[in-house]
Amino acid sequence: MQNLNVNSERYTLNMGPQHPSTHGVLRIVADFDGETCVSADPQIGYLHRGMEKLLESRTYVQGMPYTDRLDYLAGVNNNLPYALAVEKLLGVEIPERASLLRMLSCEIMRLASYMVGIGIYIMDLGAVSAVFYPYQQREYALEVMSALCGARMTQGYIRFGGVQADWNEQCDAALQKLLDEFPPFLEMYHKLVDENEIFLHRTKGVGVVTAEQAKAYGLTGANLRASGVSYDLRRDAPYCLYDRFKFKVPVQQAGDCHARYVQRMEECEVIYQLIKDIYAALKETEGGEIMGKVPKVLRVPAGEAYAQTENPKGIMGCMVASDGKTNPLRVHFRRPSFDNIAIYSELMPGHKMADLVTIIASFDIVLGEIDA
Amino acid sequence: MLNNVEIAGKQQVAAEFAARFADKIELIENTDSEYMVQAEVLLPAAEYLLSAGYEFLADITAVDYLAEGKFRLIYQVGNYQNGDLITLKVEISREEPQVNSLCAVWKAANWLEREVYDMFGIEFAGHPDLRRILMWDGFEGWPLRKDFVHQPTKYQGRRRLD
Repeated sequence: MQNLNVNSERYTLNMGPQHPSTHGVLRIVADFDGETCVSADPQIGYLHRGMEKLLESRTYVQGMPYTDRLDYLAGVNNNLPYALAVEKLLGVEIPERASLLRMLSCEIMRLASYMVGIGIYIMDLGAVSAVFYPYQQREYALEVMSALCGARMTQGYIRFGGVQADWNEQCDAALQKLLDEFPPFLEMYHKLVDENEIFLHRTKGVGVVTAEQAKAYGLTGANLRASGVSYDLRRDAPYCLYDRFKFKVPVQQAGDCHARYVQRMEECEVIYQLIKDIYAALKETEGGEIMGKVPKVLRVPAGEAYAQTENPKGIMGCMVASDGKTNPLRVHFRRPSFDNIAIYSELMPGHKMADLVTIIASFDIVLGEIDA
Repeated sequence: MLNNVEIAGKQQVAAEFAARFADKIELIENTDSEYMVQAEVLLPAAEYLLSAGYEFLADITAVDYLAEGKFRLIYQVGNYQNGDLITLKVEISREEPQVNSLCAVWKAANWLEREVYDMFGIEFAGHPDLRRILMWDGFEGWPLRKDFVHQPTKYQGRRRLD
């Protein structure tokens, strides 16, 4: 839209890579006409570590810690697709308790990741205080992981064939703390943010992604569901033991930045319920095996396998190609944030400068994953 | 728009592939949804998949089989309605690494193909904006090829910014 009464000049604005609202080192080269964006080109690669190349020269087991560093806000969720893909080639059976522990740790870290997603989103809109409440909840979630496997953020908890450590009493106490603290927090946070007029003005009708656009660009996760497409791998193509559990998949129709906030808040409730259900199921398998029968030195049969999981940011996929040696021939990750931000160059034009910040924040991206 | 389209399942896709692309597309043994596709029918096969409700291009990647002189491109195509996943595998020669771009079918192909181009140097014919995405402009070589020569000292002693 051009306002002919105003003498404006087209100029190029470089946003990032060092910019507090780009969630890391995303760089957006945008052309503006006055205050309105006319074209945007996201530039990525500033955090590229060549992870796929590194994995080729390491054994399968040595590769596992690298996956934690993809989406570093939820390390354990990234272990899972890599483990599932290799296990497909190995053909090992995963004990029930190990599967439940995988799911439980993934759900806990999913909650922790959503806490960052929501908190940083509101902070980018100017409400700095609103970031600390979710971070407190994230802290409780990280305490559970710390008690479970000894690491807070990059856990590497999942092993080929099972998991690293069994559930213990400290985990019980830590998880109970999280379960007790979370519902009052959610209620309080709704009161704090939902009706805030500035928040509503800055998010409603901004960055609208239609269902058609979302599908064409391969959006996944909460960003897809906020556009009215009900697709959640945990329900639609279950892995681990998700088919045992019944849970709601919330959907929003609006597809704007506000819908993405509402979507994440609603999903938090689902995750909370799922954690409770999985925890109850875990209690019934007390004393079960946590590791399947996997040889010490992994020689993975030749072939190609692809596994995908529903991660906090969207669908994470892992393709492993093996030629029968102890190190993979090729490992490739489908990183959800990478596919999610491809839409920016179509979504951003027509918006004001400040809305660009809102759009980036609402997508809940993480650069470790985009750049691999 | 696509709500009216009947949702094709894996069997229907298999039947349709067999009918339309008789000897150009083969089902890989011991799988129900992985196909070896000849490069010249990749585009029509992709168009059929989209029309059959497979709207979700999940992933494009490549594997360098240096000994056989081939790149194998691997496409993962999903279905938002029933959670199906179809895998298309395309083999192209290393000497002339070129294949049709799928940007016109799925917009998601744009960045995915750019990544494959960046890492393997595979040309995607018909891609609107084929340039490096993760590595910087002016980077030489294709890092994920098996014959890529690693030069650890190449950038030592140079100023990063001119």
